Amino acid sequence: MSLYEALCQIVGEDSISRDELDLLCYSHDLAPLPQELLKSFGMLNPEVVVRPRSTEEVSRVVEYANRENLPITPWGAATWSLGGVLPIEGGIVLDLSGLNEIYEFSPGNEYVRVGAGLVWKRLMDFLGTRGFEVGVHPTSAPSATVGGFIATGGGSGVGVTQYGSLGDQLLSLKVVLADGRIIDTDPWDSWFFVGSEGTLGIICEVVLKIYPKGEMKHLMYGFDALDHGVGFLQFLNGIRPHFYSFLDEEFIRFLNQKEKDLPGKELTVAVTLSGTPEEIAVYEKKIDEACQGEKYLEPLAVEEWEERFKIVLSLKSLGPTFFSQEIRIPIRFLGKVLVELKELLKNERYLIEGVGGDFGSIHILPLIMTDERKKSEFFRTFSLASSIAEIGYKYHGSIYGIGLYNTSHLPRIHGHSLNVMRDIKHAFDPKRILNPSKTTQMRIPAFLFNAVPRMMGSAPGLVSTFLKAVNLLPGRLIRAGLRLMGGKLR
Amino acid sequence: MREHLVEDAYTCASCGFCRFGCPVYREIGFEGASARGRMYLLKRVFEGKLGYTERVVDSFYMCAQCQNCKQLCPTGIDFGEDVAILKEMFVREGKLPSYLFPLRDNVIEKGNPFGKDAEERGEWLPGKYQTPEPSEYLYFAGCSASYASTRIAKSIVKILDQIEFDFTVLGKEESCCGSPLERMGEITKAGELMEKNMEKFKELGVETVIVSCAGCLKTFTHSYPKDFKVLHVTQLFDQLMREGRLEFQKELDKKVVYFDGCDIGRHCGIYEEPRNILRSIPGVKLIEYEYSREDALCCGGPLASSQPDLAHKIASSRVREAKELGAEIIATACPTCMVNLKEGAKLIQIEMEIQDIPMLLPKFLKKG
Repeated sequence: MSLYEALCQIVGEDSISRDELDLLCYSHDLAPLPQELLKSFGMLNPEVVVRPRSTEEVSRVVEYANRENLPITPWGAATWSLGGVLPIEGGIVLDLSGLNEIYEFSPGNEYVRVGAGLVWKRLMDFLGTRGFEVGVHPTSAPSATVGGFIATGGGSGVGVTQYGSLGDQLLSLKVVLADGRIIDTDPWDSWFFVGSEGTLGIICEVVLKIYPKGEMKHLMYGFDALDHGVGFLQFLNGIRPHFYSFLDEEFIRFLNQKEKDLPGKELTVAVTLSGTPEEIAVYEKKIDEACQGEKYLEPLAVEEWEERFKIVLSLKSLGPTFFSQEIRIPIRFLGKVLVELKELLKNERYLIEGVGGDFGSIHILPLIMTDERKKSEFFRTFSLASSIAEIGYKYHGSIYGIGLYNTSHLPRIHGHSLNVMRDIKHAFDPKRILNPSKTTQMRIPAFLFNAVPRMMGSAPGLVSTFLKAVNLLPGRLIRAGLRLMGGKLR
Repeated sequence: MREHLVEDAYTCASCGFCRFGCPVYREIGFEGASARGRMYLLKRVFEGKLGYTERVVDSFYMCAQCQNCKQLCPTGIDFGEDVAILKEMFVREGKLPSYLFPLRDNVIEKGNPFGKDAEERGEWLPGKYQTPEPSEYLYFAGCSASYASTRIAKSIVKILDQIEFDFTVLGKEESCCGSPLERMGEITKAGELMEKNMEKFKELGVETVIVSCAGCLKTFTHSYPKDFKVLHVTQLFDQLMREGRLEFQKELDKKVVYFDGCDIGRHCGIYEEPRNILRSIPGVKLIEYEYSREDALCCGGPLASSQPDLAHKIASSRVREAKELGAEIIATACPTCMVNLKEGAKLIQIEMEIQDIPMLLPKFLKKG
């Protein structure tokens, strides 16, 4: 029986696709990496995409894959840009968007039980009309799935500074393990799967804490002096508002190119407070007192909030390509990090956004504008990703998220504990079928991600010839080669 | 044109926000059926890695061009417009999918999508409207109401007659507005039909064209020369109600949900007039879909002629959602939506009254 037939028996024909165009569409995420580069890493289309409709179906698919030694790559909505959803070893892509039901809404006990493939926007709309809200949501809420945000860490989103990270909101998860067993976790075990990027188990169902809808107030401030802005952000971190973020001067300049008219300040800070009207009034007063900059009129702040999902992406057409490396640093180093980032990027078209994170951190997202069609320019900007990461490490921070592209940073991030991480992976998934080549395995040799892009920037002809040559090799050979190299690197 | 497509393909952020409101993606569930997926295919085409194969062409013809994704796109891409450009190109290159040939040939040869004779077009008309007369107002019935859903056209004529509104109808001299041809990319052929209709309008000295079909409305407002005013019948009725010429008296004690068709809603910006009419019927409890007005989800109607199974499946989801809201009647302002939603209800065997607004009205009319 073929793979397709076997899976058809489990999920039915409508829930499975081997259409060539579908397979192509499941071989990329947000990152604009040129296909030839990805292919030289062994990237292939999946053999088949399965879209199960229940946890039981997921369990049976995984059990089958485990028996047959087939790689499985779980897919939420592919709204990250680190290659975490790429089926780098082929096999099955498990599109979880079919697990999109709201199974239980319990206002009395303040929780919802939902499918992991449910889109955040849908959940928020559903709760909103019933007087409730979630504590934390991602800024990709219109497309990101509940399970996807859990699997990618849930540490940088709206509400994190008030409620803690998404992991703190989980009452229970239903997870399918690598051998197909279904387990229900308690709030502590859930943490195994937070940020596991689909490498330890497949999150199918989520019991999430919800809150009665409170009042909200949106504020916005501008600072001419970087020091004042940074100090203000550090103050905000101390009082833990619902959400706060900043945009740098370049960001405002780009926004103003796009039908906006914002004052061109060094730092622009947006704050959202949530609570009772009395609480909000008290906090607003405190915040106003701490501000050494200019307070903007409320409509501007409200607009910024309402556009929070679209604002960064809206600038995409100016690129037309964005490249970024998100870093998470302790907020006390914010000033130094910003100065170094600006120095590093001074010859680029770039902008910087920052969002308050969990554990007293701030997430910094420098976006470098480039054009993926101009290969040497693109690779030059691409190679800046590791320099940005270096600045993060220097100030006791780290990159945010590993996926595929950041696996070359693994020794840097984990140090000696990398082997422990691998032991954990081995305990959960001894056959290495769940999202292989991600998170703990260094399948991509570091030089490919550091040296190659740098060379590409200076000697594009040479490297592209090399890549073309690699691309001529059959996929099987490339995979075997990478396995060999990966094995050595372990 | 090509530059515009290239720009959009590279501007697409791959964020997938478009998937939320895409009726086709919602039904099929696989990435290739979403605007994001198709944008990616387009990018691969421009990279020279993929050709406009039959599969690729088909994939673009699977878009309903409902433009919900335009509402959601952070980069402002109008994917429906991109699809229109592509379809025009496909037709020029002789790549129109063969399953659309019968539809195309019917419209070109017979002046309607059903392949019926022009003689039959005016059959539903009461005697006094059989010959078109010069008039300021013309009711353009459109193909659906002329051949298939004639109750819509009959109701409109009856209502306007009753309040002694002066208007004329083209009857068998009416030709398809061109919408089906335009939708498949046959722009030149659509233009020929448009000229034919324009000539008739001019002959009769028509200043305002009244339409009951949302597809006609979109075509007249977007593609015809701006030589005359276009009113959807719900706009006209709303206006007549405000002037006190149209009133409803009999009670309709039901929960009614108005279905925002894409052509009348998102494409022409008419949201309130149909609702005003429904609200003015005594007893009607007007409820709203969770996603309505600009955010309304498409019924799949535009795909009914090329992919009927898919179109009916999409429609059945809209019927199910209405049922879950507790609606007893779905009121539409577009015959295509009405017919397709009825098919959808049949598919999942849900009892639901689905009526185009003009059909609802005659029995509630206050007799002058």
